[in-house]
Amino acid sequence: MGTPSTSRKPDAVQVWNDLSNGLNSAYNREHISSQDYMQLYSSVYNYCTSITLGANSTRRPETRNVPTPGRANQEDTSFMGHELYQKLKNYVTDYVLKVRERGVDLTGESLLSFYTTEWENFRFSSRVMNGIFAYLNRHWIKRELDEGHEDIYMIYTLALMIWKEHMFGGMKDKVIDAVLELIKKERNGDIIRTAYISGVVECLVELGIDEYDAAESAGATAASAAQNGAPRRNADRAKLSVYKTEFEKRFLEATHDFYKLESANFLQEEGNITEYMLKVEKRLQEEDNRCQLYLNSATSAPLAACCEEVLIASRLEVFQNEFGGLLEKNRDEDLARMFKLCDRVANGLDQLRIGLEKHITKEGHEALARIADGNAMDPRVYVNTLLEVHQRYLKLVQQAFGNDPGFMQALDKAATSFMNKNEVTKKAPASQQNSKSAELLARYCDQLLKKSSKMPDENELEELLNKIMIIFKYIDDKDVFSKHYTKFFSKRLINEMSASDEAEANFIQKLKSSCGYEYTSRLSKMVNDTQVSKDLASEFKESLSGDKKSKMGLEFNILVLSSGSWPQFPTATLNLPNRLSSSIEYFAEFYNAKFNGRRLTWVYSQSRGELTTHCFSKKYVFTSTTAQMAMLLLFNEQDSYTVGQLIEATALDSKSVPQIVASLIKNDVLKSDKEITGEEVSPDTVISLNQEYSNKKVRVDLSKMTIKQDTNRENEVVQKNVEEDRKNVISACIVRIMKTRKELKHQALMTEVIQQLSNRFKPKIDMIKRSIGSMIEKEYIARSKDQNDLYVYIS
Amino acid sequence: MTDAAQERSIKLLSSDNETFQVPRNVIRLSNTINTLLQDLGLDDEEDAGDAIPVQNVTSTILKKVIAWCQHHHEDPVAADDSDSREKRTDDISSWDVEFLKVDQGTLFELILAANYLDIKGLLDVSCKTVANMIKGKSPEEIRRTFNIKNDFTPEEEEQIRKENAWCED
Amino acid sequence: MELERAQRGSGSSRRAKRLAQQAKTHPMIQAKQNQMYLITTVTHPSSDTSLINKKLPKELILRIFSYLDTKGLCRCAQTCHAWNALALDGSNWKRVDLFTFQKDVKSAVIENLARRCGGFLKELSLKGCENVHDLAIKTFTAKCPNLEYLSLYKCKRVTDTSCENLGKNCHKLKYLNLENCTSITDRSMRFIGDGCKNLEYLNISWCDSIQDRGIQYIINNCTKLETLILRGCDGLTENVFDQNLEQNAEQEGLKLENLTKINLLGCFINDETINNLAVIAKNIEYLCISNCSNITDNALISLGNHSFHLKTLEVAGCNLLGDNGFIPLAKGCRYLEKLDLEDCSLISDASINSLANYCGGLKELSLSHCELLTDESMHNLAAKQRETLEILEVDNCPLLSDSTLSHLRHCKTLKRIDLYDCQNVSKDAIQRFKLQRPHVEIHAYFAPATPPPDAVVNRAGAA
Repeated sequence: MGTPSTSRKPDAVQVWNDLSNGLNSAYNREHISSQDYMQLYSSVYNYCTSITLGANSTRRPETRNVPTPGRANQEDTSFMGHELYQKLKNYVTDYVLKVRERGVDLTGESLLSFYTTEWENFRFSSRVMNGIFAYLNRHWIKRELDEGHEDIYMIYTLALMIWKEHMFGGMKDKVIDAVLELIKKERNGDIIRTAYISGVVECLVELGIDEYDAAESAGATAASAAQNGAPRRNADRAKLSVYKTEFEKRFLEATHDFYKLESANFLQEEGNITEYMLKVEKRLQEEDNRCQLYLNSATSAPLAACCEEVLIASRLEVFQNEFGGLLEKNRDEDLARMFKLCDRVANGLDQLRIGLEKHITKEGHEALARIADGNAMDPRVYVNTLLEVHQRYLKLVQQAFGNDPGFMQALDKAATSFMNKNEVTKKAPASQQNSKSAELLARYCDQLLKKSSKMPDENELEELLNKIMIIFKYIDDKDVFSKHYTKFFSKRLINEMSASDEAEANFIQKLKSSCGYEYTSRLSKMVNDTQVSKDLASEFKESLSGDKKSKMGLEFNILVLSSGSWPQFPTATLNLPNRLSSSIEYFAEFYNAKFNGRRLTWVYSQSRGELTTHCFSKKYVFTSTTAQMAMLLLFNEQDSYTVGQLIEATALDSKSVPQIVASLIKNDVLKSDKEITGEEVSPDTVISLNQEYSNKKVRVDLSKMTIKQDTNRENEVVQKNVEEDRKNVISACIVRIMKTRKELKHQALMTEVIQQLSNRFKPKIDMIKRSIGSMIEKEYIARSKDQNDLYVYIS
Repeated sequence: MTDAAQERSIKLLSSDNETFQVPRNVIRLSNTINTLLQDLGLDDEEDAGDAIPVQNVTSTILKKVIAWCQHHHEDPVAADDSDSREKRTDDISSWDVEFLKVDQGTLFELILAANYLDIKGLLDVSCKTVANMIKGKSPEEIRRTFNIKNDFTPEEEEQIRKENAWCED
Repeated sequence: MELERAQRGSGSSRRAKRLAQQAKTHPMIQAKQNQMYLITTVTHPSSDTSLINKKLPKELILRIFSYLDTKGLCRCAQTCHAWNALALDGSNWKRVDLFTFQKDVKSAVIENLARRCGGFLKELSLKGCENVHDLAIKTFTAKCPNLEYLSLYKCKRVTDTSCENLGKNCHKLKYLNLENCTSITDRSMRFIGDGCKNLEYLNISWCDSIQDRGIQYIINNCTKLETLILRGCDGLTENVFDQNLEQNAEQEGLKLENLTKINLLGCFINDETINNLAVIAKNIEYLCISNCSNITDNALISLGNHSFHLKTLEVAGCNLLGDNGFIPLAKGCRYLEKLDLEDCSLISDASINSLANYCGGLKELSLSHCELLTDESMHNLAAKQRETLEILEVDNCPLLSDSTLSHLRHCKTLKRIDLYDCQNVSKDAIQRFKLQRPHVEIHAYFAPATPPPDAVVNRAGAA
């Protein structure tokens, strides 16, 4: 080193004199030149490094190294610095106490002005001091901290500690009071000097840092040693401890009181919920701004929570009471506002959701009650009513309630309720009530997909089908829908009544996406059959050699159905006239030659044909069922028959013949010699062709009459099938579940079954119980011997 | 620091009254000088002002220190790793190795200067160099390297050796 | 200007120069083994203070020493009185790791060290030092109250007494590793819980005398606990996290808000345990319950309902788990990154699809022995996790075929795929993959072609 400080031991008193003069300059905010600064810095430096090894040094009172016997003259490794540190501490304490003296009588804004100014000065000067004594920080102080002495601080931190203890400690109540006063003024509309508040806030934050620093330097090493490095959270929390305890706590209390009063007054005087909500919104925004502007950002969350608690949570009842009213009046904007506000507090929306569900359910039921008296069974009206209610509230949930899942759920629950059981369904016969909705929906689909005069265009149709799917989602008995739909679909396919093959396929696809492959497999197979049949038909026609063709002498179209996929059709024997039967035979030949081992069963009930008449005044073309055709062709031989003869000739049973006869009589094609009432026709009634038959149209459809079956009976049939199917599905489900679980308690099994089948239908409890019983009988499962309600799988 | 400020130069005055002009962004490596400039508000001024006296460092050494800073002034600021897990001494760059190939006296002067001016990088690398001079040597070899007098009595020496024998393989 | 001028001390500049030269050419003279140095160096009476001691203040010499290892320090301690004091100064002994010396570490050494380090000691590793016993630990804790990190891994002789001393003296302890200290009982847990409130990491794997009570005590008292490793703690039952036990009646219930990592490998726990844990420890990120064979899907459902921050889950060997557990898990734990599902053979494609669809950033997936998996879920996985998947182990999944590999080609971050025993994956497919993605490790082997029936079958190994 260049200076003489190595050779002489520095005189502590002299050094300190120089230093304190320098400190005076600093704290008086006098100008310090760089020369002076370096001079001071070097004094400290030289003082601290003045002992090298070999010289005696002033020790600290307690030495750490305990001399062991036999070791002479142990060198002391203590650093210089304790004295200097102490002197520094005293100096700063003196200064701070003097400052406090000057401010002891101030209050309110003048106090804040004084405090913030003095604080700024102090900070600045202490920073300079920290720089001058930097060497002390780097070595002696650091070592003390490393060793765990927690009462020693870095110089700047020390200054903060002293300020905190002597200055802030004495004045804090008055200072915080003054700050809170200012804030209250601002809330009441006055303009204030926010710089005072932000100054105090910054001071508080910095005072918190010093505590953290002390702890940090001591514990920094092990923090990194821990396997997961996450002690940062603790650090951030420590920094704001002073701010939080001294200021934030009181601030939040004051806020709480202020708004409690304000909201009580407001509701008492005005009580208008819309106005209140607007005011709440405004206040919340204000507080947030306040926080951003001159408080610490850590307060923004607790502040918001406090305000929400007072302004919203404690007034939840008011909101809930008004909610119903707003729904009734369709005040969407207010509803949206209420949603946003209540969303901020925990459980704020719970009651609202319940309210919404109740309201929608009521609206749905009312809407349906209104149409129940009219043409309730018109599928289109029914479906449209359902859609209307649903769409209205869907929009509300999406727009006003931000698509909140809880509200969606409320809508879903309400929809499920009024879509399955309502005034309309109640009008159906008891056994069909649960599935009436499904049936009506299926009928509507049929209406849409059938050829008709008012066909919607492609886009419209797509939209309608999508809407149907929306409702489909809510239908409980999806399997009933499936049965009805299949029935209608097969009719459309057989009678070629589909408006658009594409639309059909499209809808089947939608069903598949919703319910899975299994649900639509039959439908797909049915479509497949129609395609295949078309190919077969053309192949067949080609294969006919010349004379067979002429022998047939008629146009012949065939549809081959695979028996598993299509609905059950009644089969009946029928004696076909030769002209018809030969076609049958030729085709059977052709088919059996092509496919080995398949059996063809002819379904005359679904077959139709066209007859051209030459016996009447005009030429007519009749469309009729095969049975009707067979009967009419008989009249080519004779003019009249008895019913009994007809029965014999056609080989139909005695019930069907009168039906057909009656239908033809109703059509005026045949006449009888007796009065026909209903379908009672005695076997000896004579039936003959009505020679005077006339009709405006050339083409007449005779088949319509017979096909008018009793829809009720049809539905009953469907229902019975559904019941059967359900039993099987439940049984299969039970076995499947038990196979995986091996053993399961009764209640758990019930729950799982219901859950697994929820996509298809809602199984009734006793149906499940019966299925369990039958599975036990069939020895798929057994009751456990030890526990009565436990079932065990039998592998 | 603004760009203009970066191009400023600072005047340093060694103990034997020699002046050195150092660019601001080079001398920033010295925390002591840095703090001084910031605390006294000298960073905001346009001109360099008076020379800053560096009264504990001679011109020879100061020159070397400045040269080191010049070479290293673009180095990224190292995190404060005073308590980091591994204290490596094999990571001295070849430039630094060359730079520190000096006699012991100069080396120690450099250490002192780096300590005085609070230049962490230089202090680290020079201390590591000395540490490397110690590593792997027996106590006697260490004494010879640094010319240390053995002031133990034979009994003391024996006792101390025994106490520390456990870490020898 | 003049070049380096050697500083003149009082004489002997030439000698200093020579020594400096020596140091330059042989910076690291390897010490010969353990020789006793009885040579007292004779030096000039006037030139007996070395340059280093004359010039450098203590703090700088200590700084130089801070770069020396244990051996270096001990040797410096033998050079002279002054250096003895400095070398043995506590500030050099903040972090002590005796692992490399374990065989030789006797208690006397420990005691010396403890005295040296004093309040400076922050980290101490006695890993593998099997000779260390309670007395040494007692000395340490008494002298070094600022201890923050202590590893006593495999220090079999350590008993409850040591933990008592730790609890009494070392209140700043943050990290404690007692793995394989099999003599530890619940009493230790009480001492630690009472005294070491800052504890963040605790590892008591294989300490089979610890029971539920002990763990609960720790949980209730060490509220900053972040990591708890309990591998092979046989003494624990399934009620270990049960809130309703009588002992906890006074407290509101166990709180484990800071816990992010817990390992219960091989413990006797069941679904209830996991449910209790998930409810009280909402911030869990890492959970290992491998080899806890009583775990069923209900545990996974609990995790899906509560543990939204879960990133790593290891359930290898929990073979009761199936789709009904993994699907809700995937829906609830969207941040899963690493999964070890080895031997969960009941899971099907549905589980993998759920995981691929719901979890945003899967990185490592071990599906060894999940035999029901097919290509379909692998395609989905490859598509949905293209940006994050790094490691995929699908060995012993016999239904997977080449098409899985071709889809995996598009995973940009892939590092390794295990395909042992995937019989439908051909060598060609692997070669093609390697050509396209040469930096991805593929582990597979191909048994030699099946010999004709009359030949002796030899199953060989490597590919």
